[in-house]
Amino acid sequence: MIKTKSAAVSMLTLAILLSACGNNNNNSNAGASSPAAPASSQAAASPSAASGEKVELRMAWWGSDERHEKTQKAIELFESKNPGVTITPEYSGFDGYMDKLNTQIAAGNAPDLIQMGGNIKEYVDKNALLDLTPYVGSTIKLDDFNQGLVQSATFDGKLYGVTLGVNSTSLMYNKALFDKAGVPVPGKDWTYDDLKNVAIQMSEKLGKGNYALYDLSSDSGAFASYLGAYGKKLYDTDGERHFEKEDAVNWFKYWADLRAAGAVVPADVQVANPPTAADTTLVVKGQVAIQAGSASQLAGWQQLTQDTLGLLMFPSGPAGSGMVPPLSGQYITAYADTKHPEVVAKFIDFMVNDPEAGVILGNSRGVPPAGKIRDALAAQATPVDQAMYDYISLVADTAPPVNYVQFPVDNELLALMKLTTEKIGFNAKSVDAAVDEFMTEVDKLIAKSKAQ
Amino acid sequence: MQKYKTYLAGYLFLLPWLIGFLCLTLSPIGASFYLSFTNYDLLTTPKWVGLDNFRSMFTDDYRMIDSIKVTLQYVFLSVPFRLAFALGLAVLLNQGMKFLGFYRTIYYIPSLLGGSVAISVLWKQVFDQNGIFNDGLALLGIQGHNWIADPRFAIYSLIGLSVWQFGSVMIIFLAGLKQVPGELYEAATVDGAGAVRRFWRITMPLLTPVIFFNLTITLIQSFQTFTKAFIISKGTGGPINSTLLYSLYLYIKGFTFMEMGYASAMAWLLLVIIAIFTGLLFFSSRYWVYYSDGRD
Amino acid sequence: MTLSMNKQIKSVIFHVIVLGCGLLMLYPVFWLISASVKPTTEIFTSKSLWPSAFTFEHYSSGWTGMRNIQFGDFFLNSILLCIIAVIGTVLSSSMAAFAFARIEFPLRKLFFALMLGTFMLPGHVTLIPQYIIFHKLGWVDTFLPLTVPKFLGDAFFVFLIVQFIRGIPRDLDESAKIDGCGWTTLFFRIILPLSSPALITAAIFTFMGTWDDFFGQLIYLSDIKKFTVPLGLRLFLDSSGSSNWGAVFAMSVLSIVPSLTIFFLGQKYFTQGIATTGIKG
Repeated sequence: MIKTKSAAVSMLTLAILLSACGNNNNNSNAGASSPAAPASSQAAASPSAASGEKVELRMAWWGSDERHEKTQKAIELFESKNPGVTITPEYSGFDGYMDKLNTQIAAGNAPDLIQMGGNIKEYVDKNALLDLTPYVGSTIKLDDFNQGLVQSATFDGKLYGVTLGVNSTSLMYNKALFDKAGVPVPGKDWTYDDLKNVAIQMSEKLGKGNYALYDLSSDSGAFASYLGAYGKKLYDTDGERHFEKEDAVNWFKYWADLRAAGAVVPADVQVANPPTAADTTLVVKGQVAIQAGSASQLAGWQQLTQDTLGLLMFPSGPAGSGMVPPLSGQYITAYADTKHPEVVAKFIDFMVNDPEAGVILGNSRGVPPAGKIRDALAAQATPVDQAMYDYISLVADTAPPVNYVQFPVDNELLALMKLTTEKIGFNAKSVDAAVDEFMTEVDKLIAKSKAQ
Repeated sequence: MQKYKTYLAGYLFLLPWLIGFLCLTLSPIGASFYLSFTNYDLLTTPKWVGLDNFRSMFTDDYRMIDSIKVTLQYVFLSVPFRLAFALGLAVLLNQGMKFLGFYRTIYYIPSLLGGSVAISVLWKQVFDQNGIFNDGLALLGIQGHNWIADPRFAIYSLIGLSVWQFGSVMIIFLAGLKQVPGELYEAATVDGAGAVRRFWRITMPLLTPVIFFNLTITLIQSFQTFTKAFIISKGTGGPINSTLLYSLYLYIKGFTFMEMGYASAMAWLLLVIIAIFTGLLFFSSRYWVYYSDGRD
Repeated sequence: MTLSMNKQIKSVIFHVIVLGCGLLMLYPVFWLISASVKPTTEIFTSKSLWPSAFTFEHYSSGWTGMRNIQFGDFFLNSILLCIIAVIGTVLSSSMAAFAFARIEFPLRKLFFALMLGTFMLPGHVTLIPQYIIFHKLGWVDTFLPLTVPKFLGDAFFVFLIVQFIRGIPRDLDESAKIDGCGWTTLFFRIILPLSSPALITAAIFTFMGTWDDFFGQLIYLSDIKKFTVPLGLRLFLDSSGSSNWGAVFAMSVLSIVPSLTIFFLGQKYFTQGIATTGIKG
């Protein structure tokens, strides 16, 4: 499979080097030898750190200040324990991370260690990532892991990534607004009718400029959970969609009704203050009570407000809870063409299993997957951390035992749902017409994913 | 013999550009031309699909129409305003007044912010529902809108941003005004021509090469505007594609949706569109642009 | 008497309008400066431009708050890049412009059209092929992909300088040639000095363009030690998590300073103008 990739690179290279000036010393094996990675050229023998040979790796991740700091500390610890190994960090915010990674992969110059998100499957399908199966058991120990987490990065029986943190979709709420409205915070067994009632009741009491809910109709996690609660699925292993137009109409109409009742944030306010970032969301500012978010955001966001924030599950429906089991938030993966797969595997294991590294990294990527690390962290957890642990345990207990399959071209689904929501929210299209377009485009996305 | 020496001199002066063109520019352009006929997801080998990309651009892409409409609106509103603003201020700030250096700097500062990440926040402070622009309208008794987040108005806030950053165009005009030889003015003043007459009879004709340059370049750059739309819409082109400028859509297709073959096809279509407009400008230039070197 | 009074009033009105409009346009910039010295909790909540209390914590946290690196290193890298870029661009673009504007040689018009053509193709689609070339040359994660191309001419600046050179009367060349000057002398002695407004414009624009170029620097630089100001600013932002906007604003204010200085110094040359008379005689 590495062959195919190298072929892709050589092909492009060839097109480019048709020009007379292309000065290339070693284009015979374009994918595998990169002058920029200053490792020894006899690397094929894959030297291990133990032999004392110098190994230079690169590791890429995205994140905030805090994660950069902690990850670098963990890398330094690994280097001190493994003399001869140096790992050059390549970190940034999320903006541009994937663009750069794609460029590097296209040129055969990607970092050895790569932090990946939910789109891991696309990269597996395109043979960009290293099969870690040969190292499982010997170098990478996963006995302590929830098998669902291992499964989520396993494709065709091969493991391509190791979870760095467990996460879950959630409804994040601002308790101060519930108190202000005099409405009790709902419990874990609530339905979509309850949500509607709570939202309308709260919005009436909170008055102008405050809202009970963000418009969740564009949130693919919320939609997946809704479909689950009504016995349907967004997508499944067979590569098909498992919902009908009627389901999508119900979903978008549910939110259109709430919007008409003044219970959700109007479309223009939502565009101006998207709930996706801590500095723009009105939940942190105390103007909206509930939004969708991922559980691991709780601790960081709580630091920005005096109000107490908390986590709720999505409502249930006739088919029970549609919650998706806790998922991997981020994976550590290896580049398919890395020259030091064994050292890379060793570092992967270090990140998730080393007790010292575990304490250094903390919850910066979600709840650590290994039980012993989690226990060590639980002993020193703050109340906010504890709330997140409790919530994730609750989801694990509640979620139905279905095999959840991520929608393949997730970025495009997100963009499509956002567009559909906006067309309805700004009254550019009726629910029915917007959903017609939505269904056509979803089917195109599924066709595209099949063609890949 | 003299002729060949001249040829040689021409190529020697052109050499750096020629090397760059042949080594660094030509082959990537060739590659992108080839890719426009393929299905290329960045990670695996491009697959030849013939004209499929071009066909689906016109028949099967529900965002494309929106994107083209928005881009044309942006180009045809921002180019004239930007140029008029820049030329007006350049002429104004080229008089022999006090503090001119200071004023020029003030008017240039917005352009210094360029594509800074801070722009998205700053623009929101001005054009948000609670922004200062609406405060100003309220003083006049006008009810404002959420200018950035409302699909009816979002493109205008983007055009406003482009006009606000007119500084670079102004600088080129200023440089052009400086090249007008002072003695021509002196001669005209002696002949009794007034300021307005001097402007139209001397300044404008001598400034036409620079006006032509600014018009051409602003047009090309406006068709390619990316960063502003990317920053203001947080990379989405929303709400409802109202800021989905062509280059932003191309970028989303190429890098976010990983359809680089399609994005390349889009780029070549844009090139053709821009080339037509630029060609028309060059054709028209022989009727209104005056070069002192007397060559065409 | 009344005439000069009139003139004075006119002048005052002129200054009030120019200054007033200028300050109005600068509102976002004032907001930026004010946000950089406000306490964190006040940045997005208070509309007043005057902070309730001045704090410089954003400056210190932005400058020194990162592990193993200081923001000052990003400044040094950016300044180095910009200086090299300015020298390269001005030299190579003016040479090409001189050739296009003054010398007759075969294929001149074709090359000029091709040059403008390269300017019309959006850069995003040539990015990856270009990256592959630089990767093959072993230049990725060095400053070379960001500087060497600057020595190979830039379509925008070539076109700009061509327009200016064409504004210089040809009889100057002829008289120079009669004096026995070669092309090189003509270029350095006559054309370059006479097109200095365009060259200074090109220098200022190159400085700012390079200072501002996020995407190119993002793609080609990976090692944090080589990071530049735009990359450094993005380190405080994480759209998927929480961002340190205070530090972004503080460092944004500082990042304007070099360009502002360059501009302020450069713009003096516009006011002085060019003495064409001396050369003509």
